[in-house]
Amino acid sequence: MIRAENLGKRFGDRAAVEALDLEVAPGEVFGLLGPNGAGKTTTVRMLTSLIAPTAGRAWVNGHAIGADDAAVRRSVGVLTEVPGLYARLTAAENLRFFGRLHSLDDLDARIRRFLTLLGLWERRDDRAGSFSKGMRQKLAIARTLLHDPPVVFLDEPTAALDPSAARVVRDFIAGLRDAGRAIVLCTHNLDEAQRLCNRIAIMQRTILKVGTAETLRAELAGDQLVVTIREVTPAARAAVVGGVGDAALTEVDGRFAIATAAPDALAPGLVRALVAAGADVLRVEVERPSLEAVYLDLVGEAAPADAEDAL
Amino acid sequence: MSWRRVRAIMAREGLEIRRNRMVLLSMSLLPLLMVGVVIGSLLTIAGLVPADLAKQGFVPPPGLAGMNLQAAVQVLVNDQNMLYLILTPTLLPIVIGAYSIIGEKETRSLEPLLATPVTTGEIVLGKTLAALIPAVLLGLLQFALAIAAIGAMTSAPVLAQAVRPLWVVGVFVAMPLLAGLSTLLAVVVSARVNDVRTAQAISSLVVLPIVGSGVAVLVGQIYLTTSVMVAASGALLVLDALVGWLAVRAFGRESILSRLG
Ligand SMILES: Nc1ncnc2c1ncn2[C@@H]1O[C@H](COP(=O)(O)OP(=O)(O)OP(=O)(O)O)[C@@H](O)[C@H]1O
Ligand SMILES: [Mg+2]
Repeated sequence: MIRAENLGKRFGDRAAVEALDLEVAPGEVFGLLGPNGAGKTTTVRMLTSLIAPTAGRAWVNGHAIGADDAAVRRSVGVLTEVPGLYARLTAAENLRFFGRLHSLDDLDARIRRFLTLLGLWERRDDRAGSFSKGMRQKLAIARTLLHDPPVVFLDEPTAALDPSAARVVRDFIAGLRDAGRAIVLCTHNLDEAQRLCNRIAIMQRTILKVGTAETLRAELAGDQLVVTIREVTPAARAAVVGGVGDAALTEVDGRFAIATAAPDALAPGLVRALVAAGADVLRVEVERPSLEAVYLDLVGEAAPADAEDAL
Repeated sequence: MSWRRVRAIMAREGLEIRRNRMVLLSMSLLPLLMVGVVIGSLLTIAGLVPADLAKQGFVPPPGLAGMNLQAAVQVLVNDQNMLYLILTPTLLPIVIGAYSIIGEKETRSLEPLLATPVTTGEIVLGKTLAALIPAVLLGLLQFALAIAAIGAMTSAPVLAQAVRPLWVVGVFVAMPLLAGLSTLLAVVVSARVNDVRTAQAISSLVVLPIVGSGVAVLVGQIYLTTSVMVAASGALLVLDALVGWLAVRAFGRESILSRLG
């Protein structure tokens, strides 16, 4: 559905995006995660034929970027970073305008369907300028999807939303995914990425790493088996050390954390040994590093200094 | 070129214009003023009697020979004002035209618009027509009011002179073409600058030569006849097409989006 090969964009002598490869299948939500100025919006703009790449090639819904831009624009729905609605037009008029640009026929029915889905039907005749931030975002989402595009780009869709509205939008995105759309989701919300995305790309000018939330976490540090006992006796400690062999072991206040690739293989024997040593086992848990840890490990704690982005 | 999309753009611009009372109001001011000028100048010469005119040695131009002297003066005054009526609509679409593209960039609605299948030509045509149509309508209304005033304040022969072919061609052909030219120039400027105020300032400057050529006629550099008006209209048509083509060229979809404000 979406394919990019070695895609790049320079603004003057600054490379905003470099050597970017990606592939998104129908029915997949592909997350673009990255700090401010990482090039997420630039990537979306290239893949929607809004700006021309300075390197590489890309195809959307089978149409080549740069060669067949009209067809690309017909296939995509894009939720831009800023809603960009017409403030003097009502919600329904905003949608009607875009529907007509897409030459849609059953426009009234579509407008009704999307405004209802996003909870704006009652406000259809109010001007968009009178809407709250979140309502504007919802109207922009309706505008993005009005023409049922097979490929959808969402640039921070839940950034302005309250938790319950964000949830409505997330459920909505999950519905789109299940309906077979290919979706690119830019977000700063790691939890959202984890819950919605089939695959996540962590990007900083280029894609640093891509995979499912699971594989990304596993790749960083692997799992930890954590066993907590009531009281640490020398016998208990000996049992742990004897049981785990040379696996990396840390011990804090009766809590033994063992880094291992196979916690399931390790746990039963370890518990048996501890019980045999007379220890009271309180908890046995498997801990995975959070996506946040993976993210910070890859992009660094500090956002890149970029004066323009601070404006 | 899809007329459906052009109409969609026009309809949306039309809605915005109708909902922006100040724009409509400021557009209507100049035409109303011009009707006032037509009435005012007829009132000013009302006191002149044929005897005085003859004493001052006023000789009517050849075309008006045989007309009574007062009527001949009225015709000359009307002719001058008629030229103003053709020129003023040129100024009306500038505000809307200059806003049309850079304005959408400033409100951030340009990016979603450019992400739809709409072509650059359709955007330029739709926006140009949306700014031009109210200007032309106001120009025609202004003409109708002026003719009504002339009919009420003068005699039938004077009225007949005000609607002779020269002015019919001027008002119905040259005026829209002239206003179209200034609209297109304003759209070109709107696509090339970085903010609305600059667009409006530059557009007003760009239109000056157009108005200037009209003034040249007034001070007698060019003698207006129906054939001069028809020729001028033909030239304007070519110019309009040229500037229209330029406007589509000037509209770099990417550069407008990524140029820093
Ligand atoms: N029109 C432009 N002209 C010059 N530089 C630009 C332009 N647009 C983007 N950039 C630069 O490209 C880089 C990537 O910007 P981009 O907007 O794609 O980042 P982003 O990942 O979307 O960031 P954010 O999370 O803040 O939205 C930044 O360094 C930015 O300054
Ligand atoms: Mg961004």
